[in-house]
Amino acid sequence: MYTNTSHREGVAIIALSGGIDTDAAPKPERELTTLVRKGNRKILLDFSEVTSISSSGLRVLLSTSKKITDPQVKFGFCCVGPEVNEIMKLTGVTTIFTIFSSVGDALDEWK
Amino acid sequence: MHLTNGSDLLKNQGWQPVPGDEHAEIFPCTRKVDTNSSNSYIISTPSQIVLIDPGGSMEQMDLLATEIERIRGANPRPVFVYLTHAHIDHFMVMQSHPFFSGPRRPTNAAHATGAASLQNADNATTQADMFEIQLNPMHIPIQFFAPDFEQETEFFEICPLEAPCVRVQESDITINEHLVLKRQIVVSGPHDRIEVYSLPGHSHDSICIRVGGLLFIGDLLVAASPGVAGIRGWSQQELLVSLQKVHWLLLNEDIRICCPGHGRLISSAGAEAVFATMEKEAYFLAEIQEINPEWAKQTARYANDLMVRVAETFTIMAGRCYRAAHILEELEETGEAENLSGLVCLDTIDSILADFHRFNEDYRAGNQRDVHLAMKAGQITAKLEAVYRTGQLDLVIDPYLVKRVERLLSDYITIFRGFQPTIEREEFELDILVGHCIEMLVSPPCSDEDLITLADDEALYRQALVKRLVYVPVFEETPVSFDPSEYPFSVVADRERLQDLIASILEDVAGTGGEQITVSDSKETNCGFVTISAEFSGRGIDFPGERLGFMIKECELSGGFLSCEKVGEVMSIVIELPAL
Repeated sequence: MYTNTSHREGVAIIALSGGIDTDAAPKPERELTTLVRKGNRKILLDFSEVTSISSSGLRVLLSTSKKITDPQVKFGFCCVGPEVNEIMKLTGVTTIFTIFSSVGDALDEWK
Repeated sequence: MHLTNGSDLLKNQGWQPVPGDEHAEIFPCTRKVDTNSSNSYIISTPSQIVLIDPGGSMEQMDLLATEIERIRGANPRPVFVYLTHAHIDHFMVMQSHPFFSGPRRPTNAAHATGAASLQNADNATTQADMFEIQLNPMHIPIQFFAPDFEQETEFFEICPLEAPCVRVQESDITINEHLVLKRQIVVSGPHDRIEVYSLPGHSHDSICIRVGGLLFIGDLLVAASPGVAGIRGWSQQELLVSLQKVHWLLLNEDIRICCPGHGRLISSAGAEAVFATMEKEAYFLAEIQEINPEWAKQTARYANDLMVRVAETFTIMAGRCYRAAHILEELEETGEAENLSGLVCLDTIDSILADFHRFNEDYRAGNQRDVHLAMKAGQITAKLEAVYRTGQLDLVIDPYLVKRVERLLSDYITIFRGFQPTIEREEFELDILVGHCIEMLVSPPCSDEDLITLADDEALYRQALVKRLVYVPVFEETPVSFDPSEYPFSVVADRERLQDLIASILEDVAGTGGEQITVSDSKETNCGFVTISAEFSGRGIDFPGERLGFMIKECELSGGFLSCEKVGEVMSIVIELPAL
């Protein structure tokens, strides 16, 4: 799992790549925690390059979102590919997370 | 180098006396069970050194060669290599390790049939082709149980430097009027006696070798195991007879420890029990299909597709539990959330699947062969079944999902054992089955009325609430309409498999963004059809080919045929079934 963090229009964008499984899931979690601690209030996980997600991956994403206790912090995903989207839809987590179709959509929404 | 300890019966990688033979010592080299290499054993006597099954690991052979050179240096003696049978994992190192070439090379001994396979570099009977290996011919001077064997044969000048003389005597054991155990006794010195028994079944050339109270049994112990039973040269009839003979040996001869080709050493009593169980299992293996490279290729492909399906289904189930636990925690029902997460070892299952995923990536990179992937999937399936069985997922998750994983795992084990999964064909009305299937998918497991009714009983209410939270209304946004045929008709198929197939197609279509999903059934002459159609507006239809291939296989196991049509933005999946 590779992560790359960039900033656009006040939004911290963590681009993920590869599969999010037991081994890989803690990495974006750490990155996200650091960003929140540093005072970022808008955090977007970019799934463009994510190929698969396991149950541990889902668990970590849920647990990460739970750690964001500050209601001012906006947290969402974008560019979720069809395979990962299917898993998210069938597990029902799409109702918990805010999911945008593109980075641009997220930036527009969070302006 | 670290090799796992094989047993408490003998110290691994250490010298110790051979029980029942005061002149011999043994150096066992046992390892964790794998397909690359067998266990190896060095026997040292005053007049010879015998290496039984050099194996397939160069690292292991380095260790053995060092040990043999050390004891040969202290007391120069000829070295012999005995093969319990000529399968690649028992002799591969002999093809390339320097220990087996040059003037001081050891002298090889094997069953005459195995010797012929090795001399002819037969890639099929040696199983080399299962691992995509090309053999070089090997010379086997000492051959047991050759058809033209005289009562007593002396092998002279078989090793250029040491010129040992080995005498082999035929000495069959009559167990009863119907059962004769073919035995040959090898004598190469005043105190050296090695007995060789012909015990085919695992392969035509399988022998067991006895030194004192030790019996080297090759792969006899695993001859009825999945992925082993059915390999070329395997014979159910021969195996059943050999099991009777080895049972007699264990009961009537002073054999204390059995030294297998793979895995831990086992006491004579323990082996007796295993052989008795094997005998029962082997009776059911008459219809087993041949395990060959084509089987490995097909099974590896099936394993790959199946594990993707298992992982997906498991992720959906676990993800639903995690999501529900997340909501329960928000509702400050921490206890219920913990109970939910603890229902089954979700993390354990996830890490087992991740292990297969890593192995599969290695396979895709070309580092593993088909047979390795098939074997790995066999191990993973067994582990998953063991963990899964102890869980209580069906208390909260839709039972059809739980059953799906159970069935997929069971199907793989059946195929891995060399059989075909059973198709339980029965006659039923197609309309009723399809209607029931859709109803099952769109209805929550616990209705609003149920929740209100149970509100007075806290425990039952919580249970129902959890079940309701775990349920995901997948078809709320993408409703499914059913258009039954005008005249109901019956089909003959595996009802349970068909229902699950339809459910999984509907979930896949909804999950991949299909809209306006319609299901219809119809009949033409002797065929019934279920057609599932959906629109994929704007996004294009993205249904992975591997998944479609797996669905086709699943449909065959339901007793039907599946096809997929794409016209414009509409995809239709058609299941064809024999109708009455």
